[in-house]
Amino acid sequence: MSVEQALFYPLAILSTLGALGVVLAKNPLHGALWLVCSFFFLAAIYVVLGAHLVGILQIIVYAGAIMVLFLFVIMLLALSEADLGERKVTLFKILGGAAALSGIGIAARLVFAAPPQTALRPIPADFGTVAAVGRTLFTEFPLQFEAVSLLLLVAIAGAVVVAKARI
Amino acid sequence: MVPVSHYLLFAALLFGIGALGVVTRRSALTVFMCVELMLNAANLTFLAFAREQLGSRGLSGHAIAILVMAVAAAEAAVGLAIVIAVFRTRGTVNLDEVKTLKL
Repeated sequence: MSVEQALFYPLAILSTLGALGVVLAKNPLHGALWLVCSFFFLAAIYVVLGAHLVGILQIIVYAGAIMVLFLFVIMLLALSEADLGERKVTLFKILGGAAALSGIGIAARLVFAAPPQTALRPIPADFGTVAAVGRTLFTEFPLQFEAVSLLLLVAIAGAVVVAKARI
Repeated sequence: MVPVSHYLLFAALLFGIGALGVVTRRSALTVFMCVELMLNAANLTFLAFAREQLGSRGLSGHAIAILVMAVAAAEAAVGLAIVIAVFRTRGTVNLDEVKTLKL
């Protein structure tokens, strides 16, 4: 059992449990905390994959900023399950749930029916580091980078305008 | 040695669980969190293929994952602002009731 195997399978199971906690939690607050838990284990899996920068950014940006924003809004709205009323089972929910589960089933079948694969090559020393990813981001994706920064500016302005009671 | 397909299956599992949550749950906030879960599954797919390819193609996967994260942050900000506005006008975020744009 290699280190990668010993790390990945337990982390994947824990991350999946966190994801299930999000879907099954009655209170959105509990669901948000389950999601933070899942993101932390996912960040660890990113590091196992050699994506050090993306893993740290996952913790800083996703678990640390986006989920905190979610928690702010959840506490601002102060919802409880009782406020939502009766639970309805519609055809859309049944079909959608069946579609999601069959998607997972198809993926599982493809994976376990696949021929044995060659081992992954070892990770080079500078793979996934800040310098290497930064170089790639600024030389191969400059347009996308500028577009995303423009998108963030528009999102800041848009969020303030949409959430204000009186513009 | 973990085959790439196992990483991809785990990403598909997370995506499916997120899709299940989006379709099934009534609270708009929980649906939003499940959408974030799906975005993370897509990120994991990018990073798994980057691990397989290595080299500059692999680093492209990492750069794309960072861009996806930034887009997810922008989407979360605006989406939560919309949820707040909907709660202010409709009084509820129950998606079974907030079905039409007309009040």
